[in-house]
Amino acid sequence: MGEGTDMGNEFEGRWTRYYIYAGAAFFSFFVLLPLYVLIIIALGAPNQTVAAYYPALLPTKFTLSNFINAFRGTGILLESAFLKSLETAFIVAVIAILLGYHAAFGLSKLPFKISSLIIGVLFFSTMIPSITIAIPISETFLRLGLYDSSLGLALAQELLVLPLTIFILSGTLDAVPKQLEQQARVDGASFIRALYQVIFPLAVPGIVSAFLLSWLMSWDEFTFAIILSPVHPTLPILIYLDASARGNVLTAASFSLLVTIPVIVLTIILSKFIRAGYLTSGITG
Amino acid sequence: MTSKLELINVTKSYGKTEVIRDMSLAVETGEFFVVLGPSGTGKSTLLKLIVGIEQPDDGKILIDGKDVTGLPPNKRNMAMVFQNYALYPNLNVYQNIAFPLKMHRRRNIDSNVRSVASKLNIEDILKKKVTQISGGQQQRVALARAMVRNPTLFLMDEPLSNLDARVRYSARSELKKLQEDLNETFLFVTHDQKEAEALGDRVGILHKGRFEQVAPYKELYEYPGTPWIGDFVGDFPMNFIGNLGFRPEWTSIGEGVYSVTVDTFETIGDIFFLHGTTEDGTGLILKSIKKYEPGEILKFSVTRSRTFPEL
Repeated sequence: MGEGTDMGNEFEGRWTRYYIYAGAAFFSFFVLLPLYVLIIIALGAPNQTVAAYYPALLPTKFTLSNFINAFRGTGILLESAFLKSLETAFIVAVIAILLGYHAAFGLSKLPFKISSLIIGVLFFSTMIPSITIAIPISETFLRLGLYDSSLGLALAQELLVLPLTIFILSGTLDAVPKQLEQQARVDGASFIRALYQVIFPLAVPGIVSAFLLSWLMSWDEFTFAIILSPVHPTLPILIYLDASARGNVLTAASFSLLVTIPVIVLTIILSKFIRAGYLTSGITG
Repeated sequence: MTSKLELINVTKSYGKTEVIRDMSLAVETGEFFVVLGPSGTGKSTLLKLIVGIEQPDDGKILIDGKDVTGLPPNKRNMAMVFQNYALYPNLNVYQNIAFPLKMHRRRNIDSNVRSVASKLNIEDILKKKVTQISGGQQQRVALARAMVRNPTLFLMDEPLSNLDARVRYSARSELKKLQEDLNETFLFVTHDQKEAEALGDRVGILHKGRFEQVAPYKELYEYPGTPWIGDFVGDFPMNFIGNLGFRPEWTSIGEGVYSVTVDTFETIGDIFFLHGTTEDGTGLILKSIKKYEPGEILKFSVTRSRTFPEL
């Protein structure tokens, strides 16, 4: 995102921008080619794509029948799976930011040695295979009434998402000068106002990155989803069930496109916040 | 809202390091008080204690006789200008100046911001981003933000040291004039003697977490309380022969009981400063009206001196 718009002066020469464009084109090619193939299989006429000996680089006939078949095969399940995935991903991202921002703020007050140790310990939970945790959790969720719910699934996915979110946000908050918080307090801001009205806006690029990343991690999460929410599955589970049951490349391609589109839309919407950073945030996009 | 500031036996340690040791001080109403000291002597810690970012381990801080020890910074209504100005980078100039008023829920924000801006000649940059303006302008914005709320006290942590030399001199005299116009109490921290000399009604020399001497700069220069102050204050350190201290200009070369071997010469304007060594190896700096050859042995007398108690 925003390839090289903030390059330091010492790197700038006559040809710099062309090198950047060439690099961007090179990497874009690798990202966009599979997407392109996906789109033409999903939307192109089958006899010009998967059924052809020599598939056309650009199909001339297009059809919506693959989508219609995909939707017809799963029916109402697809819509509910799509909504459930969407709901879960947003719950995950919101909780991750709420908890992560405060945790990271606390960590930024500690000496680096201690805070990095704590972040390291947080990542332990991601070292345990999800399936080992998911089964006892499902048993507890059954008792709590969280089984098969979006909220329950989201809470379980936080195990994977939170350590990374805290890691990103503590990097972001470390980059916010401590003096700005002190200045805000001197200027009459209470601790709470300094935390939300001064530091939060400065951390927006990192917060948006963390939001996007946690949203994405939930959006295509599989293990927790299949164990904790099998009755009303999420989109990745539904696609898996459909693809393994029917083995149809065409409907699978339509599904894949359906999974990809919200990701692209969200990324485009949020990218301007990430780019407009006054402070460098550890990871962008 | 001019106020008097008092510190009573204030102590602050970080771990085992005692940064501020049993410090007492009274800054009078409307005084421009300069805290002068080499880096690492607790100058910034002192400001943080006064403003409330840090709390003292022991002792009291009074404003107009009222105990403010333990109050958080937002309840003290003091203004602080940091060395790097700490302007909010996401806000423009206007919003930066208005920020303290908003936090204190004051009325007439717009007219207050505009009147302060006109006083400091920054009306034309109110809409600019703080990252787009020059260092001198940033310093004015920081000052405006400090002034706008009528604070009890102005605290400044080396606010001139980030400016280019040329801007620094004009900013310095403007600051002095501003303080005289406002007639507010200023506490200004610096390691720069010229700033202390130009700005301070009184100067407190901070050494090892304590004020070693508090006096007008001229007095510090002429009557240093300790050999350390004699050494620290002035363009050149005070000369010492035994417990006799004297400034380079308090000597006369030609006749006298002392002798010195010339090492090098330094020229400042049209004045020469002779760096030399006595017979027992003590380094001296003497003011001279003409140049001598290195290696030459000169007689000189001390016309004025200060005797320190034997250490």
